[in-house]
Amino acid sequence: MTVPAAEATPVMVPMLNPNEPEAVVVEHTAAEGQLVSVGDVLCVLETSKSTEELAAEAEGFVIGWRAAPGELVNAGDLLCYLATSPDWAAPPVPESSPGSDVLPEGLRISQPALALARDRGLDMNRLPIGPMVTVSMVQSALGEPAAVSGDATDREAGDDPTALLLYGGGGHGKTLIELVRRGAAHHLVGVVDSGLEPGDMVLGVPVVGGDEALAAVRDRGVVLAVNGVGGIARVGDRVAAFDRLSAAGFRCPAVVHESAVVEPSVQLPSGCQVLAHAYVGSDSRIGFGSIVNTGVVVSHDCVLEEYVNLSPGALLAGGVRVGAMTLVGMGVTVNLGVSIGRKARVGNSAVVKADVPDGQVVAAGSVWPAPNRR
Amino acid sequence: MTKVLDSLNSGLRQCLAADERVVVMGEDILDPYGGAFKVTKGLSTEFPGRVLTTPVSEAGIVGVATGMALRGFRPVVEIMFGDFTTLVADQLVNHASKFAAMYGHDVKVPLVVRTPMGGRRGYGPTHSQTLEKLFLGIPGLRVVAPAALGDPGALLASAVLDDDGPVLFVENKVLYNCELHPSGPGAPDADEDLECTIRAATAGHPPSYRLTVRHGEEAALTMAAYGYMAELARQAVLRLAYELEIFAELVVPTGLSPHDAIPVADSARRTRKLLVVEEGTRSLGWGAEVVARAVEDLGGALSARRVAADDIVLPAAAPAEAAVLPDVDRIMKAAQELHGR
Repeated sequence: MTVPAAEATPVMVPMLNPNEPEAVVVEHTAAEGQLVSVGDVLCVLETSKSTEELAAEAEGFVIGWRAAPGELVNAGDLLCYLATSPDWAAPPVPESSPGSDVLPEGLRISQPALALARDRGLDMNRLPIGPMVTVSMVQSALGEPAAVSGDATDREAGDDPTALLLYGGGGHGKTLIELVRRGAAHHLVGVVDSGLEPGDMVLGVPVVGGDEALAAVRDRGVVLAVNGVGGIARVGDRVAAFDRLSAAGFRCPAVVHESAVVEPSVQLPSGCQVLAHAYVGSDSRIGFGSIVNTGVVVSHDCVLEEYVNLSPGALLAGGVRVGAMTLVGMGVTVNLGVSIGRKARVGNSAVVKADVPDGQVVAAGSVWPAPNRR
Repeated sequence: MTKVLDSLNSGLRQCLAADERVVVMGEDILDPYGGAFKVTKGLSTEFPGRVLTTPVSEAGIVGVATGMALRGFRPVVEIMFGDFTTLVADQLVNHASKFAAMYGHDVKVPLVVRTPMGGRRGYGPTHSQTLEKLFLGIPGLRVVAPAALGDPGALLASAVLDDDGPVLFVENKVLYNCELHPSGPGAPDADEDLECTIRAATAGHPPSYRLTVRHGEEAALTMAAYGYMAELARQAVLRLAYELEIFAELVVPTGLSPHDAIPVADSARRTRKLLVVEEGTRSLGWGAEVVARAVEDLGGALSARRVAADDIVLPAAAPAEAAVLPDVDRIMKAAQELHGR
């Protein structure tokens, strides 16, 4: 019985070393279309332990090199074909993605979002470049109401995505009440504050109880909260409030006063608050739970870590870094590129011209660093 | 792109050049062979007399190195396979790590023992383990593990030159060939998908890293992993985001013991879901400590899971071994289950 000669024999990467499937293609010693005999060297492969010449095991024309010199390949990968005729056409390299349309350059999009966009025939050029595009963003672009706002995971049927609980009914809490009322995104359902009587009102919002009331509020389908604890005296109080809210199953959305200006390139995470007439400049990043108080200026390229508190009127030049849990006082000015460490306290009206270490207290009205006395 | 292996080699070179008290010792580490995994390649040629080849006796090598450290050298010992650290356990645990306390603090043992752990090479049950869990929590012994982040060579150099106590430096065979990812804001050709924040070294704790999906949604899940597992966890973070819109953030410590609980706590206090990935066996390992500390520190509701090697003897056959060790799919599955609760 004769077996008809195959039109082409595939050449695969061999396992050159036991336990090491990877190799790098050093060079092609046989060119595309070249006729080789059995034993002729096709290419050179290198592993971490040795360099090997790969010899042809059949006679034929070298067609369809797959891996270029410099590329990493694995044992079993296809290198090329040895064909009986120089005109034999190698099968096309399979496309890695089945989609036929080309995506805009730089677009980062999740697979479910891409599937939805294709399904609805959305023009991809309407999607933003830079942020990671998710299903909810595609729905916005399509003009459909988002099924859920934000994190879909904690959501249960009956959760109200616009109801907001205020934790802490003091001065900062009142500021937040009026901020929320100006916006259209949320409405306040109550205040939790262990220091107030249930039934009392804070600017027209009823007090529902202390910490013990959190579970009941959550059970009613309220999933969002805003932290009214300023924590000026002790930042730990503010952090503890976030912890208590989180442990009770609440999420804290970012809240921004309608008069504040936050550039589109800024990343605002959960838990942060940007108050009236504040400015947050291009490419700045704010950490979880931070407060950018009234009239604060955060210039471009600043980085605030978690739980930072910038008091009213503080002025940060470009590229300033503020470490976690640091308090910057009212009217403080911080020079370009200065880095303030964690858990520092910068007093009102201080002038900060150089880096401030972790835990440092900078006296109010002083210049940092203190000028040398001669 | 620099590989972890190149960075470590460079770190050793830096140590030998910086301090004449540094000596590198181990089996088969002389040129031209340059060590079983080539981490010491080129060093014996460049620093003659400072790179010593030893007999095949791990306990002997570490014992001698401990004595040398007591007498003012700064030895760096290579143990060829991490599985052999069992042979040096008495020297490390009952001698090197205790002398400073037993004999008064004028006595110092600035010894570094470095060794590759890990499987996926089909080397079998006694050459593929991840055994550093046996040395965690030993008072007086620091355990440090590089990842493909930051500067592994600098991490090693710091252990050799700056630390006056014994350090077990845990490398990984597969990690050696991984390319370093750029870290830190503004790094040249920074990863377009993952943002890396560095938490700088503090007294007693080497640096740690936090990776988040760039411009993605708020993280809903915290992952913790070190060494080669950080590479798999990193791939899982990307796939979870792109395939399932589950956004996780990955904390990668380089210090294993003592355990710095702050980076994990900072993340898990927001997400309240903690997934720990390790290549060691699951029971009573690193992950157990990470979860225990997180529960102690954070209180309240915290869901946690560990992805680790199954508690069985590692098979030699590659497919059988692969079924036992963590992989990206298994990490993703665990993350989905944790997320969905």
